[in-house]
Amino acid sequence: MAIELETSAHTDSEIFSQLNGLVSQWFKGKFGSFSPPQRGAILNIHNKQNTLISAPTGSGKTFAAFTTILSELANLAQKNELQDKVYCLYISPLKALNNDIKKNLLDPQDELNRLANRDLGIRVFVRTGDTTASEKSKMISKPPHILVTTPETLGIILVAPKFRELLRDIKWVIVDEIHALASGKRGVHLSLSLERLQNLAGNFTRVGLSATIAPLDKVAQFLVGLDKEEPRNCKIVNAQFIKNLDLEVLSPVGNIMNVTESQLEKATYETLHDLIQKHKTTLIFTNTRAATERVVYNLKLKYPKFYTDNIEAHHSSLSKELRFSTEQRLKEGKLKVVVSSTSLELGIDIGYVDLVILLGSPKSVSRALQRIGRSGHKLHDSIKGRFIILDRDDLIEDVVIAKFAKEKLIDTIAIPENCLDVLAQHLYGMAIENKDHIENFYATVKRSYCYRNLPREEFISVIKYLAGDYAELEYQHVYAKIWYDATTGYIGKRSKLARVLYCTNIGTIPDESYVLVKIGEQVIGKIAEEFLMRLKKSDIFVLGGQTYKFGFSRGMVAQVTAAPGKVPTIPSWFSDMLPLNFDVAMGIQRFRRLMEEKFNKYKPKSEIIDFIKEHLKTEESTANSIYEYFKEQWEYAEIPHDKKMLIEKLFFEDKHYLIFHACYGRRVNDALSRAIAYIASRLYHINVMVSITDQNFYLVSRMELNIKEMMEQLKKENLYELLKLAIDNTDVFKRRFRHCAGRALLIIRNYKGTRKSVGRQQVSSQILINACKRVSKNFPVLKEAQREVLEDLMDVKGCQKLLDDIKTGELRVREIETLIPSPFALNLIARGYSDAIRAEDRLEFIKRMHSMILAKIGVKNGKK
Amino acid sequence: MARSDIIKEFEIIDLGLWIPEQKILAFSDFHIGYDEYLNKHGVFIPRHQLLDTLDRLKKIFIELEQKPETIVICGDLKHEFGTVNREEFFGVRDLLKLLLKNCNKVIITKGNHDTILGYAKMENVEIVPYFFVDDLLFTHGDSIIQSPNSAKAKTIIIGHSHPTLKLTDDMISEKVKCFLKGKWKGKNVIALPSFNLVTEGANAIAEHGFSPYSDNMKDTEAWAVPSFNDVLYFGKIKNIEKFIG
Repeated sequence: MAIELETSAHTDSEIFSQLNGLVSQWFKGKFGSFSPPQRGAILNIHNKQNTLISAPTGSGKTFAAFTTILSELANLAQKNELQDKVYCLYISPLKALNNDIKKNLLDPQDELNRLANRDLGIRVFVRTGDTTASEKSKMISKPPHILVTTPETLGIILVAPKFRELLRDIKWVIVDEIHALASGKRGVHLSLSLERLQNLAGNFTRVGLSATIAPLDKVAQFLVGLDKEEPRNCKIVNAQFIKNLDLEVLSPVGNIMNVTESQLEKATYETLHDLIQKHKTTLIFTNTRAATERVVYNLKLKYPKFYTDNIEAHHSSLSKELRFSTEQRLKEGKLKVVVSSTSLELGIDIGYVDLVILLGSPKSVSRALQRIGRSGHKLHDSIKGRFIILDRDDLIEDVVIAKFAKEKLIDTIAIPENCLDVLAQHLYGMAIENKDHIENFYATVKRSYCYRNLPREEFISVIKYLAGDYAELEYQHVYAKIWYDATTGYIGKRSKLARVLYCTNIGTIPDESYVLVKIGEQVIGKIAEEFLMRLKKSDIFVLGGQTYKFGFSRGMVAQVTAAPGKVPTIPSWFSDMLPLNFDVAMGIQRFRRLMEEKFNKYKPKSEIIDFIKEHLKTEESTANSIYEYFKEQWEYAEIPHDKKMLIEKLFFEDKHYLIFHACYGRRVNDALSRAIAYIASRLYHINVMVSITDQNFYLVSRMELNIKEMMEQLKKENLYELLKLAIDNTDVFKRRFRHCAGRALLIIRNYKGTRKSVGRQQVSSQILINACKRVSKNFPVLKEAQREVLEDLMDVKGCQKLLDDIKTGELRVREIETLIPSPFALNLIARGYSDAIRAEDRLEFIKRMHSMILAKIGVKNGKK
Repeated sequence: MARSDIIKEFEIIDLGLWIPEQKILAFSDFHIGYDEYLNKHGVFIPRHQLLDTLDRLKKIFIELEQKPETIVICGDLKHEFGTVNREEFFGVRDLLKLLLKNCNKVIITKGNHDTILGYAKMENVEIVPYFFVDDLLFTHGDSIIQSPNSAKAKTIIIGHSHPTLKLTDDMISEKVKCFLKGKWKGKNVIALPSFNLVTEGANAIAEHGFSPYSDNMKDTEAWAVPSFNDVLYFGKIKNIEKFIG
């Protein structure tokens, strides 16, 4: 049966008949009857079926998972057969959520004890990175029956000699917020931990809890892994759309095309204020921390009588205490409005919110639904969300996302595969657990969905890396973390320090290296180390909404002076922006085509407006803004769409621009733009600057580029290799390489008891990259950094599909020339470039700079 | 050819400074053992430093075509403070043996990293706080030498600051090892680049001033050494500030 959608919904009596009497009594008293996800899930879990539950917040997901478990534990307790061991492991990505779960389980625990007239002795403990040594040893003598933890702590428990013994008989594992884990390396890490747990404990029932996400069958496979190369069985309970959706996209002005920025801002705050006042509690999501601060500041400034201490910001740069206090006050109904970036997206209990406002495009349908789902926390409340558009690109993204949500079309996520850095961590961990045969290591790894296709040679390359094979024999002891005996095939840990080293360096969240920005001794904020590399003296850049002039840097401090009102000379760091989902991007492209057809047929305005309203399910002023936006583009140039890629050639401010109207989302555009820029740099031996947004990208250079010549060299077959070369010297690759080196334990943060920062401060990524290249082009850490950039950060596959479409003629490429950027390109041009593709190697660059400087300052070569 | 005059009769040969009159070849800041130091601090890059250093020196000796009388190392021969790691213990001796094969005497002016150097003692190797000959003063350069000889010197040759130029154009920037020549109390001061081949070095210019022996950065001149085959004169710092980070 493998992966199967659960179609039946069990009745109350069917479910209650299977449950422990006390648990039934408690449930009836507390909830009365079962919610849809519970009707689908409880009996499956009861029958030891792996189950993935996808449902919105507040639909009873938690007890869909826990009711069976409480019932079985109560059965054992009543028979006095409850043993000192862990029966259920609950894993969530957030420590805050762990504490919530413990609290939520207190109520049934108390109630069951009361109904039983005695303490049933069911214990629930939380173990995270914050748990003290004495608490841990207490758990060993009196183990929890339900252990609440995080993915990273599970990785540590697996090598803890005493603690791991408590997991030997585990019956259930619950993975909460699986949607937040599956698309990143934290999820990859967890998927391998679960297989290692399976080695220890044998089969257990896996339960995944997810907000709205797609594709569910892939996420289910991610949850359950494989057995004998086939996905293990899993039932999917899909209750994603059980709540009523009340969604609207609001345009603060009637026509976004003919207002000034300050008019738009004024109207936006009026709209915000109006909505907030009409509701009891409002949660506003922005896309950046800076925007979060700005909204709070402006609401207080513009409406001082309304917003005093009843408004708060909530984002990840704020201290834990501040965030916690905001969450508490939100729960207690003391706040009128909270503004958040991403930190309130995950399911910690935030109490009663009756409106969610999305300021700026959420970039994907599932993210929009997650955010909006924070309103109407009770089962029968409807979910109320309002998108407020900030600019013209937002406008079209928002309406298409809202349309998809209303039509229940969820965009898909990508699950990373064959990550060699995470693999290195786990193989090390497995070697610490037990000495074992290499084939057993490989078999364990291949059971994870994320490694089901892992080629043997890549697996071996990581084993060799861990065994220190890359260094000369006499030094191998320095680099080797494991030993591998090729004759017997056995693998084991190398040093007595292995366990400590593993436990203190485990995890996948990169240790970013930041440089403090200061004016004298006063700290202004921090910037990424790579961003510092780009700054030269007197550059103006933006930090926290203010402009500063760069002076010089010393170690990890950059000295600046305030430069209010100056125009930035260097763009901010864009690489961490949320990418527009590919499915949504294609939705926009299709809509663009329909619009072009209407304009080409000279349909009257009223008919087109009606079409927009109907097709995008949107109201008058939004439809009008869209109409005006498209009309301008159509009149000035042409409308690009899913069957026509428009390339706009432009000579602007002394530079040659090629603007590609390619609405495929940032991940595809990133790959495509760099591939073309790389071809240009080789063909014409020039440096090419690129800038990308979700809807288009440009190349800019000092000479005119021949599009045809470049496109001829761009082929699906050579794209991957081309991109490997294209990213080689870029900031983004250096940055990701450092992350991968950390995960693969090539650079270790916590070494021999102390936290070292030497790796970050003294060795540039480039030195590490050079050292690895000297070992081999296929050094696993290098390969992984390339893979991460090309497959996770960018979307090579999407890009390859595009090239296929061009080849077959499905997608037409059309060149036009313009004098000023067309309306669709304005946002892109305003943004500045984001990376450079170099034509020269280091020496050539230095020599060119030398000749240029000589020419400018007039000195003779070599001598004074 | 990687040679260039820095002042009359003083010649840059790759990362070394050749003074024909006294037949002195000067180097600085080898930081032998830096790779092992990184390993010990959790950065697991392979150890190529010693071999690379010896190879590069051999190339310099071939290039020089004559045997120096004295090789002066302006400090920081080794890297670790207060301890001697394995790479240093064997590496420093291998390095000195190679130098002695190509000259008559090696003089090490102690650097701030050279806290323990006893194991480096061998015949024809002198370890001194500074070295004074004719009107030349060689010293590490982290502090001012309090000696009557100081006043007599016309040219001071120092290490310590690991000078580099950070060349920047649009979004691209590269650090490159360089020699600096400035003035201090009317004397010439030459700062040698570091011979640590694992890293380029520090951005001496942005970090205002490279040594107590420097009193006017703006008129300081720079020669970059991007590879064994290239020495590039960049002129005075004040003229190139726009191009360096």
